[in-house]
Amino acid sequence: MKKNRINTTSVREIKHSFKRFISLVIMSMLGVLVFVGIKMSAPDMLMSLDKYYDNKNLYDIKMISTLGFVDDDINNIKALDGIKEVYPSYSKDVLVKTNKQEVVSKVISITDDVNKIDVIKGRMPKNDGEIVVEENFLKKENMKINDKVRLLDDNTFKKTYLTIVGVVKSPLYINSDASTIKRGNTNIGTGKIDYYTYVLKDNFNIDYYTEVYLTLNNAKDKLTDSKDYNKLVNSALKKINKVKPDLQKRRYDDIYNKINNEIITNEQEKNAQFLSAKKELDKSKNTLDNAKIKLNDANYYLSSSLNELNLYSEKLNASKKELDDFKLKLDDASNEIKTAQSAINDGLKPYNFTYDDVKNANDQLRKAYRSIMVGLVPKDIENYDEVINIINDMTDDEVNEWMNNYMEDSKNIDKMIKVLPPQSSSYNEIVVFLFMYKQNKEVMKILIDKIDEIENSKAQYDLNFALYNNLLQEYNNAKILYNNRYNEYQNKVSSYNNSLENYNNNLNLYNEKVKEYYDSKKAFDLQIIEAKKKLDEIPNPAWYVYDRLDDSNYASYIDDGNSVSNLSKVFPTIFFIVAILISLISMSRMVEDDRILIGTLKSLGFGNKHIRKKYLLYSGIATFLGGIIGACLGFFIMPVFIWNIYKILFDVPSFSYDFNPLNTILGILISVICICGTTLITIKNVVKEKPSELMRPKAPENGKRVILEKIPFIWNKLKFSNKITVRNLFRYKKRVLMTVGGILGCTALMLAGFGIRDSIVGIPNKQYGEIFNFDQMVYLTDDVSFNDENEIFNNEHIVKKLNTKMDASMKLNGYDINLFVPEDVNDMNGIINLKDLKTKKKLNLENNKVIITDKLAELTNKKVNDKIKLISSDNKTYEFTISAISENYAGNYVFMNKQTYEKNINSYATNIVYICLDDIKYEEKTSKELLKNPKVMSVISSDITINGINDMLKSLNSVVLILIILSGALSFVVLYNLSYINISERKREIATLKVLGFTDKEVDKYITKETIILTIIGIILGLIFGIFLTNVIIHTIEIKSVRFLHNIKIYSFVMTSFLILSFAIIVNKIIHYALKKIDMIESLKSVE
Amino acid sequence: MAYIEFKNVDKIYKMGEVLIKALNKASFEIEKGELVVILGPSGAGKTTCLNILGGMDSLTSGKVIVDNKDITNYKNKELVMYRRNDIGFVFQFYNLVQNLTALENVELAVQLCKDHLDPKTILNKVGLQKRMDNFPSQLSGGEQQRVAIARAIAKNPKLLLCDEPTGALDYKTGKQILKLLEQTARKENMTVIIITHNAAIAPMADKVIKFKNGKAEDIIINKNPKSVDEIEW
Repeated sequence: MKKNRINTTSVREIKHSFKRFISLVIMSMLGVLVFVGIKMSAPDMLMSLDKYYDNKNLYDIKMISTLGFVDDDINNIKALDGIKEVYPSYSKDVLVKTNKQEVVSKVISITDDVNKIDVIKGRMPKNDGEIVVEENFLKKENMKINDKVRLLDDNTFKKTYLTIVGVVKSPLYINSDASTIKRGNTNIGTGKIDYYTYVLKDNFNIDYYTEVYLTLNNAKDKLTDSKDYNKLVNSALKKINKVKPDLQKRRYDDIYNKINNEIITNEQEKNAQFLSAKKELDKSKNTLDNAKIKLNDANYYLSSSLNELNLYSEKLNASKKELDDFKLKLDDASNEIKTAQSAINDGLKPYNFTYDDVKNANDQLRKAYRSIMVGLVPKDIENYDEVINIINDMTDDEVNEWMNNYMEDSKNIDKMIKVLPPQSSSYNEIVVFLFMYKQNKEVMKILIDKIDEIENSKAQYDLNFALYNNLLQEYNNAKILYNNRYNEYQNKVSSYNNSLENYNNNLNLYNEKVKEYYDSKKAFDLQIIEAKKKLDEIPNPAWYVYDRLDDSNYASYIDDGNSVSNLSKVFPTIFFIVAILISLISMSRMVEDDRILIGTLKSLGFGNKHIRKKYLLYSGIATFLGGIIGACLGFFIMPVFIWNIYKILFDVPSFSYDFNPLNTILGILISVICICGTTLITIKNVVKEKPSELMRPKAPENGKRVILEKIPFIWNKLKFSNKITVRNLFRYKKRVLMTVGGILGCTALMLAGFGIRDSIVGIPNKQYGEIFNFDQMVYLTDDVSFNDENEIFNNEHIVKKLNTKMDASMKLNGYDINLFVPEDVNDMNGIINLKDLKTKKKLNLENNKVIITDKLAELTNKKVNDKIKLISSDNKTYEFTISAISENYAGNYVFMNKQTYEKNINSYATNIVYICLDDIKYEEKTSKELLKNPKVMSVISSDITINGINDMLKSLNSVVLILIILSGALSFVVLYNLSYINISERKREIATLKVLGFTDKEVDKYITKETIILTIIGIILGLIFGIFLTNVIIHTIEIKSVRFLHNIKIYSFVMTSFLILSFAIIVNKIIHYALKKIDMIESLKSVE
Repeated sequence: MAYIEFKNVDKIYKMGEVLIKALNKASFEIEKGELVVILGPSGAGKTTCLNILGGMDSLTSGKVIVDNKDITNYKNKELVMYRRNDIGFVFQFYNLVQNLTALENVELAVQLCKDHLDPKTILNKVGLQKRMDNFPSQLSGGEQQRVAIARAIAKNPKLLLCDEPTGALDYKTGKQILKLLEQTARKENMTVIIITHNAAIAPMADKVIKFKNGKAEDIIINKNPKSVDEIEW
């Protein structure tokens, strides 16, 4: 076999110029690595997802109906063409009570054959009382397997106290734990679903299916989100949408009739109940009326008795008064008597005599009058007996009169004493009395009169007193009688009162019953009206037919994949451009070096074809080798790397390669074509020359005066070596351009890398430091009153707060939005700062208008004064005018004031309160105190939110980091290559300088000055181009809900410049040894 | 003692396993102000000898003394200073810096040493007063070599080494250059060593050293050197 020595020289050349070869290999490798790596990442991610989905038999189409599905629906759908299987299923968004708090969970029924779930820990539920949860549930709620949770929904579930028996992973949710994208939106709790959980189908107590999952024929064979797949899904969607109206109508009629029948039966039943209740009430009414009549009679009788009693009492009182008067008089008489007696006693005292003595003596004397008279009759008179008889026949008064007359004469007194029989009683007293009488007849007479008078009074008194006593007795008897009668009356009164009370009680009872009756009747009537109204309000059932892209998890996965693949549009291009530039320099240098060889070959008779072949072979081997290495790294390693980064966000269990070789071949091809193409171009000029010209050295580039020299003011001041540098820069224009271009590219790439990082990293602080500036977010239950709220937030550490209504269930043009309604716009100051993006001026909420965030405005292509339509989860539409667009970075918000919300959407109820604390160190304490109140659902600190966003951005950030590293590698290779070519081109000059006595340092300086200046120019231009490049890239990779900052930090400029300059300096250090190695003897040699 | 002494100098190059003896006990002496021509066929060791004298290469054994200084064991740094201050070099291909003007090329060399001559004066002397501001590419070969000579002389070296200074020039121009070198030696009392394989030049020298197989085989001293004008080849 004839040996082709051209090939031999090509291969030998590789060994000979190994550094150049390697640099070509690396260039090609980097270009292809970045191209293939980034290009393949998205398809690989998609392939992994597809494998996972196929494995779990994930649905292709998902249907939800506002009124649920029944078997009839299922059968009808099943009958459609292209549908492989229909899986009816249940799910319900429920508040779940955990150890710590109430959370919102989507509770899904377990199905064996669709959306299959994996058990990670524990086991599947075996009965209604068991539940399995996602991994995050246990972690965040601080619970374990065998702990119990309670579903706060007694209507939907048979059992609500459930035991956690396992941890599962659902293919319906591919977000990982770290992701802050929640499990979707709902209309309960905070509006966001916190977790998904699974229970057995049997535990659902609903008579319709809440959703239906469909799989399509042949869909499994197709890659998810591929054109074919989407076509298949769209055609199925079309078919479903065709039968949709009919089935919706049927479902409506069913429900209408069912409810209507219920209402009618209910009405009849209740009416019968009311009738009997009414009868009973009437009966009680009669009884009560009778009782009332009796009571009235008793009352009349009682009042007349009372009158009588009062009259009687009056009389009694009058008699009592008379009696008392009488008694007074009696007492007066008694006193008079006593006074008279004592007066007499006083008068008699000198005689040692008392009134009683006198009276006694007088009485006795009088009694003795007759016997005295008898005694006075002289016995010797004949008619004595007669006289005695006469005396005896005399009345007492006559005796007394006689005696009184007789005693007028004092002498007779003595006679009397003589005849006074001594045996008579009180003899002595009488004697004394008589003596006194004899001595003082007149006084005694008065005394005796007086005594008589007294005695008369006394007698009178005694009589009266007796009379009084009689009367008193009589009165007392009457009094007793009265009292008896009064008591009797009182008894009657109390018995009357008892009856009355009894009656009143019965009456109240009756009234209550009547009220109750009417109330319940009214309520029932209302209920019926309400029910009938509801009947009219039964919404027309709306079927929502979704494909996978409608799932935000899936969509964000695809979106993120697209972000990466969008990166592949710009980054690799720049890589390739730089790689091509550098290879062009390398190859043209190589061809220049080989001039004489080429001339020799030509003169030996080789054609241009052969010569081209030699260099093509060389560069081809290098490029192809590099391309293969790069493709391998890019194909097998980089996607896995990026995949692992994305695993932070997405939980798709296993990685699969998309063995589509197109991109790989394309990458290698681009690399080969570019670099071999540049080789051809370089050779083209050389092969055109004649061999004789080629054998002669190429005339060195001429020295030229540069423009700067025309400014002697500057030029003359330049040092010698600087002049040379300046001239050199202008001399090797091509090389300078390419060097600057290469460094520019690397700088721009690296700055773009840093810039993207800046744009990402700064977002949370911008969002939660400038736009939203709160310490904690407090989620409240739906039913918080003003008082509750005061109680909850009566906390020493809270310095500021903003009440808001947050509604995350609305959509705008298909994008999820957060509707944000502050209770009082004045409270927003310093907590939520709405600013214009450009002017940074504060924005105010206007009535009936909304403010939307700028990313949302961009996504929906809306401007100020445009109208937007918000669509609620139950498909109601609300239209508003945009009054302003506000600066915002994370999340899509629509802001409106309370009046606007209440007027257009619903009544306002605070569900989230943003609070600021006096010191962040009290965060935990405050949070604990707040959560003690049962009306507080959860408290989230702004740190958690910031971390959440950081998580979301982490993956992109890491991809960017890879790009920064690769850009660094590229710039290193570029700088090395350029410097190396520079010195190899100028060996002779350097040798001459050495011979002239330049020290190594001086030679270094002479050469590196140029490199450094070029590097600096490249960096400056690269930074400028980098700003532009960053903007372009950011624009292509932005995520839907996040606005990246178009703001590159000074740090990044500094860091990029520093890194590139450092590389340049390191490269110069390496070059230093190469310079040292240059032999001075070289300068003596003829130009080759 | 002579101004330059070259005593028993050996120079052995190692090319892999093979040893090449470029100089083999070469010895000669040169006095100050002498114009010396070193003659010999290629491979005779004359260039190696020049390299060693010029401080561009080290010797394997022997001794080299220049102006009472033993440069035999000079370290790299000392060699640089030696080249800088003591040696002027004229190359066959001039080795001018292409993007410096004639004057600037001279200045480039001059900026290195303290005890230098004025570049413009030197350029005047070599007859380039009118072409001072031209770039090498605008000069003819002879003119370029004049610049190179001017660059070497301006440093005011102890020794002017010329490696085939006429090699790339035509006869007439070559003669002019030799004339210039002759004048430099005679008028400035500069020690000039010219290396050439052109034996016709030899009569102009004070001393002719003939090299063969790494040895200074023959040293001829011209009592009455001819003027360049009288020489023809």
